[in-house]
Amino acid sequence: MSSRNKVLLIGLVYIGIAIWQLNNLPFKQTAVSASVSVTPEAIFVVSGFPITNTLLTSWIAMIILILVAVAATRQMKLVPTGVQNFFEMIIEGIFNLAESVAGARGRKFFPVAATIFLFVVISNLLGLIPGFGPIGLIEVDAKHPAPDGILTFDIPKIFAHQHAGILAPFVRSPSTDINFPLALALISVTLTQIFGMQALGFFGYWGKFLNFVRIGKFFANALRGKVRIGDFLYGLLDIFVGLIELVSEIGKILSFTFRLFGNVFAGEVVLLIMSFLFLALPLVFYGLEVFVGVIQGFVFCVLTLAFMAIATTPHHSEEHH
Amino acid sequence: MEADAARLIGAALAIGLAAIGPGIGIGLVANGALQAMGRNPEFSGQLQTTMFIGIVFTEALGIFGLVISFLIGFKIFG
Repeated sequence: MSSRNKVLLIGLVYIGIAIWQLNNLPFKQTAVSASVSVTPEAIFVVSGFPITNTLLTSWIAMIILILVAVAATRQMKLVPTGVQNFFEMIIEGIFNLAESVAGARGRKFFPVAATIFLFVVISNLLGLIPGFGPIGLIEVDAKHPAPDGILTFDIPKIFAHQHAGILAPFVRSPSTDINFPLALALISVTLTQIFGMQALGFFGYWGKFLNFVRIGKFFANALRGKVRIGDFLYGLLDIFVGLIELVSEIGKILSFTFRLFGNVFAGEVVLLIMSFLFLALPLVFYGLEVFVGVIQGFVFCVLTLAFMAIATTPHHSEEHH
Repeated sequence: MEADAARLIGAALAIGLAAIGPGIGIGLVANGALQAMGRNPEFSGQLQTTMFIGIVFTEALGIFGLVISFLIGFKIFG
């Protein structure tokens, strides 16, 4: 059987199961009120540490990445075929990007950037797989019975802390939990500082932010009786510019975090709302969300590379004047 | 219910107003990139990467508005 026929057969079986299920649901298909929640829902608690659905999905993404890496490199050939070929293409693309953004130093930044790209893209795309999100537990108790037409499970005691009546999906895109983008942003920005310090030395790097060189020169000259007011003004300007740079480092964390979180979360909300509007409309937005998911990973990777390249570039401000 | 109404109006205004600036900005970025590509098609690849970075920085402002809108809409802070 050719692979095209196989795909067709699988598709037909899938559609058949879907149609059969629609007619033989164990419960009525009446409305389940859609739930949108910014905070991730705890699936279970391990010794006081809540395992949330987004954490679970990021583990799944990691497992997928590891398995794929093993599968792609298990039988490495000089002339790659199949899986190895595909992944060599991706890795080579990221590598060329790193070299074009950061030059020779790109080799050093490549592992970080590639990891971020692959992890973000896989986890964003995972969240778009049908079944991520809607399958979950609906919490009920004596006071809050399940809504009409919803299959209920017996709920373990550990859910007691949550209020009843919410849909707690088992799996949910990690980027819809603000902690995931925040963690990646912290990793990216912290590594940027470390690479910067490695390349320019501790004082060389932090001298960009706390720039007292010229004002020091002014005071040294002033002690010797030569008061140069220009040095003093430029010195103040240097300090001010340095402080702005320092604030912008913190701003990087915020913009990394909210960019990824906002894009993916907004995408999920848009998909949810569109599914109630018109039959084929979600399809269009689904395509858009696939695009956005990949682009966000790409952007996270490129920005990390660009910031690292900027941080490791020596600044010759003294030599110019 | 009046507090709820005000909250919803606030959430809608937050994203609505925040979309104006980035909308204009992304238009300008794409405009510049397309003109450059039209004049110098062999640099399209490089220009595209830079254009995406430019778009992303502009878009971030809109996304901030969106996040604030979510924060207000879902009553996350107060």
